Amino acid sequence: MTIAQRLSVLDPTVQPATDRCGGAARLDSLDGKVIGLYNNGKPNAARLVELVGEELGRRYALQGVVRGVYSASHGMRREEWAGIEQCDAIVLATGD
Amino acid sequence: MGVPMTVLSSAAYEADGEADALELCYRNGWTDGLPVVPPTEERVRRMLAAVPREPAEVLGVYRERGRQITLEKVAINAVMAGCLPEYLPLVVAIVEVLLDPRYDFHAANASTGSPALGFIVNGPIRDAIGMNYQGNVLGPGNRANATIGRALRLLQINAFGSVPGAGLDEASPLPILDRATLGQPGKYAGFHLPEYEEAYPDWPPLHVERGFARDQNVVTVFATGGGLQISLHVEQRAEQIAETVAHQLAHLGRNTGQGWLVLALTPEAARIVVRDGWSRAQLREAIYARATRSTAWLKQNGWSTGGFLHGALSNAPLAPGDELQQKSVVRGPDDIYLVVAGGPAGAWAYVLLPYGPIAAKAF
Repeated sequence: MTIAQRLSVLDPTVQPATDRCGGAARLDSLDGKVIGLYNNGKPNAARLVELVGEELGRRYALQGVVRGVYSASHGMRREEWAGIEQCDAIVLATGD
Repeated sequence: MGVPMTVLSSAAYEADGEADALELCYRNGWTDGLPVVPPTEERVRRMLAAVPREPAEVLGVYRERGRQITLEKVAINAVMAGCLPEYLPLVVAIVEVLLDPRYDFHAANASTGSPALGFIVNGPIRDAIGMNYQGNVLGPGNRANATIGRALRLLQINAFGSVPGAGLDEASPLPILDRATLGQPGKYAGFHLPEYEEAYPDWPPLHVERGFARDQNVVTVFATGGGLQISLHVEQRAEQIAETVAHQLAHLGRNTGQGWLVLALTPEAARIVVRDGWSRAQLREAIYARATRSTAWLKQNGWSTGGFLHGALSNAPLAPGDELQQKSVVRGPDDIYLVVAGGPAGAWAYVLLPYGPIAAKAF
């Protein structure tokens, strides 16, 4: 009878290191606020976020709208988020 | 008293023999669907001995997913793929390119567009580790070609988190972060493309064209949506080869004036170009020029001018200046990465279409 030899198999996986962060403070209203409409440049993402922006414009007295396009192929890069400091809230649209 | 061994940091799972160890790897979601070599500590240490660096060394950080990739983890996945220890330096070099913050390989790990990794290998290492750059260079049959490519895929699954299976999330023990819609066969072992540098010694290979010394080991890493094989069996002159390749490329809807291509020529096809006295640069320039089309041509032939993601549905009317605006299938002639590879019989070109960046590293 052959007795199987005990083996130790090493774990090939890498676990993500996640930073703890809290959520942003909630706004009580968008009246008088600047919103950002950002999309990832894929088909229909710009159209979707514009439709959301139009609806928000109908419901709230927005102070202003900032628009931008970012890439989904990499993490956040400062140059793709110009104007973000002006925004009180941001809507992202991700197309694919 | 002997030198204490470096402690490996990876968790260990117990198994009753090889068969149970293999099933453990399957249960944990650690494979690509094919059987793997269970990465025992002994096998991993043997693998690590091929590179004189500490197992805990962080080769890079996959920023988008917050994962620190150590040499130890690369070695474990290389064992699983069936690599010999002498392959590890090449695997490490490729991983270092993938993790270099100057390059964006996140799409290769995350896109629903199913990209696979590819790598061109130049230099003495090809023969030193027994790579095949002749018949079936992109296909099966060679341990180095296949297992190096597979090690990369297992790293993508296990270390980078690109577990495949979108739509099957409930059945997976791990989060599905490779949500590729179709996938492709190239995702098993990649597009492994060591160059047949010796085929035409007076025609400088890719890495020499790019400024490296001939005796340097260089790997050029890229991601690709897949390949296109082009028959060159009736073409008898270099300009005819350029014309045929350019003609096929120009009809793919990819005339964006951006990006790059990898172009592999088989020895029989390359012989025609070499015989006609063309340099590699001449061939690249000829393909670039012959693949250039105007915006007017794109509109008249049903192609969108918005790039390949936008299909053929533009139906855009001609506008003044459309004849003058010209775009090729790559940014410039230098963005065609030309290699000679393949077996002795058959005149073919093989084009690998871009999916993200391409980058080279000497090692």
